[in-house]
Amino acid sequence: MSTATTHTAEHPAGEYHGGLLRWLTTTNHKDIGTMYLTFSLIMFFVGGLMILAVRAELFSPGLQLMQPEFFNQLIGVHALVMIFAALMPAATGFANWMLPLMIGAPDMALPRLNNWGFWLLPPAAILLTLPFTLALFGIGDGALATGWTFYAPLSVQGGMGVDFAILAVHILGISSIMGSINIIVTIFNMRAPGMTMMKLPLFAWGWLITAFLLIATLPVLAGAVTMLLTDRHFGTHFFDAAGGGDPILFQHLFWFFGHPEVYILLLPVWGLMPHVLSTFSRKPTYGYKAQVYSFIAIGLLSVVVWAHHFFTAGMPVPALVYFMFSTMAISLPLAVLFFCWIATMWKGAMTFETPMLFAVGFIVLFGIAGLTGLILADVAADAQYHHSYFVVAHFHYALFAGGIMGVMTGVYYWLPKWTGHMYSEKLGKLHFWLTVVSFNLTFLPQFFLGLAGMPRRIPDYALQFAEFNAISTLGAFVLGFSQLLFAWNIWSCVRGGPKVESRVWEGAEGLEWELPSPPPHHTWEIQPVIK
Amino acid sequence: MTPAFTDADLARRRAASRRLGWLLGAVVLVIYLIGLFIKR
Amino acid sequence: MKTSPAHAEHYFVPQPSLYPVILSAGMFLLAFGFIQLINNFGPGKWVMLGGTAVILYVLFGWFGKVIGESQSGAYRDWEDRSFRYGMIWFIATEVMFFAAFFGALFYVRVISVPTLGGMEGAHGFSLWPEFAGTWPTSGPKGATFTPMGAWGIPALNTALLLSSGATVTWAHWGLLRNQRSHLILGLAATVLLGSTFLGFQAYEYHHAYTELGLTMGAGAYGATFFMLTGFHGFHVTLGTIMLAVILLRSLSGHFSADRHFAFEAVAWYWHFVDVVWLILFVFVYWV
Repeated sequence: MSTATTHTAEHPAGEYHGGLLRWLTTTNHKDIGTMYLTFSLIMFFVGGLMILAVRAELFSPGLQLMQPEFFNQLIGVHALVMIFAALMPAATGFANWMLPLMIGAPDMALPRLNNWGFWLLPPAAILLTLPFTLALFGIGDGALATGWTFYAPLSVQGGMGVDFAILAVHILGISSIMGSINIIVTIFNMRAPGMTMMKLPLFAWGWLITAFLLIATLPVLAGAVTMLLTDRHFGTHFFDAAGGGDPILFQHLFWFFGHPEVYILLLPVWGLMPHVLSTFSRKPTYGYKAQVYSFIAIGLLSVVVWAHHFFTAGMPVPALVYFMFSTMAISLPLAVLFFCWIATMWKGAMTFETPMLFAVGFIVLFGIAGLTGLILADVAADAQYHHSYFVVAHFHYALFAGGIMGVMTGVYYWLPKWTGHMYSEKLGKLHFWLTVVSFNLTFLPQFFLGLAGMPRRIPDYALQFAEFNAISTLGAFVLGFSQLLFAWNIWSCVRGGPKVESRVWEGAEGLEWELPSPPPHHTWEIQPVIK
Repeated sequence: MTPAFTDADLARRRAASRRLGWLLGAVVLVIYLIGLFIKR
Repeated sequence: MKTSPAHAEHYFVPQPSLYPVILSAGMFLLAFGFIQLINNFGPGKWVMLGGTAVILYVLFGWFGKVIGESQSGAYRDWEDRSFRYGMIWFIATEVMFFAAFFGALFYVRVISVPTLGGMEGAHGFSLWPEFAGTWPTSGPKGATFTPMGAWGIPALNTALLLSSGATVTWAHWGLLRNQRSHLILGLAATVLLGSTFLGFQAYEYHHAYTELGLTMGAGAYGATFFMLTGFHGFHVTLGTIMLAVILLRSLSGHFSADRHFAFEAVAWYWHFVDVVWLILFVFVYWV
């Protein structure tokens, strides 16, 4: 991209409200993106506080702080909050802010729907957490205590917290589906003239596949929890063998959504990585086409591998073998991605600003998630690892080091573009090192705990697990409190700081860097033409 | 703001990342070769 | 990649609107009231009623605004394409929603019921020796019931829905040829056929509950039967209401031969509901 002509004439048509009304009524993709990201940050701390309580309980053997029922509620709601209210909204916030800027669109294609998609989130978050408050007033017995997976028959027998979670999942699902439809339509219909699909930024490609996965799988989750609801209150027998149903049916339906959900959380991050790596290596992205085809291959494979989440539940051997090999097949396109990321950096003039630190940290730690995932995919080995802390460590390497650290990469990379100010590089680097060290301190011991046989979702444990659990808890508290640096850094960057140019990073390429920082309220009202 | 890097500095970094790439590749190859000799 | 200014068309970005946030509040009330109702605490029914009122207010207001914008010519080809893509992918989510319930039906028929009936062979014992594991069934411990036959009302309903698919296409031809009476007649016939379908379906449910002993509690058969036909019936209800709105709009002279996205969206939805019924007729009623 050589010449930069920006067209940012203020649009006279909009009657813009000030104050709270602006945020309630907005149809502007940047406002909505900001709301998504703010909501995500708040819920990140809410979910984090829940799990710090859990880690405090696990600091030493025995029950110190809470009853097992409350412990179970905390882990389940922690997972639902982190997945649906922290990670997914962060990715949607990125999409809202950046997709129109990157593809030269005047806004998202369906702006009012976009606003609705966001405003469904707070009611859902309230529904998820309200049972805790109600229990304080003697109504019900707290939130869902089944873990985030809602497995029948436990969830069929559970208290009213399960109903709250079911309805919350319905509303979150509607929100994500509306967001996905909007993103697909935006990418298909709003690209700048001349931007063919194979010139699309990889971030947009990653999100496009994510959106298709959400459309394919979230309705199935909605169906599954609806069956759960009717089993609980309207006498059906979907998950009850006495009526000809089967509890394992729930696991099939849940993981048909649940496995693609992992890629839903990760694909936006994989899409953003090449941009960051290429910027700070001052080199074009290596293997654009290979990455696009890998995204597509991973998207397709992800919907046909779900049963590896319950190898031990009982399945015919041919099914076990099929799900094992199809799961392992995902590592091939994923390895292509890793290769492209590394090749992008190779021979590059690399500099290590905070986003680049997070990106490189992401590659190393997410690599561990991928390799331990291969171990879990092995049917024979999985019998030992299943439902142990090994699994907990594995998916936190995937979803914290892969998901959350990927989101942090994006936040540091784009924050100067959004605010027009540079964040404190010193605090950013401190935040990175504290996060990486304490993250490994928290989760590396959990691999060994799992290998030694410690089951997950248990508030008490045998004495031989005490040391590693204590280390893990210490790490978790450092990890949790280091995130205050992150929040503080963002806050002070929003408030002020050194002004930045339109091209914030000297190696950055793409339409978004041709716009001023911060970009005006409406951008690309006259679309650029890509040659 | 990105600190300004001199051309010489960028050239040095290009060389360094190329060397590191070869080094990591060699380490992986060595681990792979060692693996061939481990019998279970 | 080079950029230069050339493309001068403006995309329609609507004014800020309060409807989305009010709709979310209404849905929260509906959900919260429903939870209260099924768990017997708080004034659940009234909260649900309030939520429904809020949602209805938004539906009238929001769709009213969109129709107003459409009539004022705010939407051109570019916006029209967005709506078309949006509707296509919305219907795709509906397809997957039904897929979940069909998946449950196939799972119980192919895997769980035969397994429950055939444990003796595989494991040398049987929890329920008297259970044959054949379909239809309400399971080893379920109540007795008579399954719904395919060739009475369901076959008639198939004919009704298929003809309604034909009449809505016929109405579309009328719209494309600018023959308004042809359009209105076709739409009215479609609404009538849809409503008749719903009437028969209601009668069938009454018959199932009072005479056949076929209830939602009648094991795997009752659960899949009522959830599949129930959600389908709900979608037919929505589709009929949508068709009625399109009919009213046609009566007030809306739509032209070259710009009638709302008509087509509802027609697509109606064909989708039609196809779901065909699959349903084959796998729930017939085989």
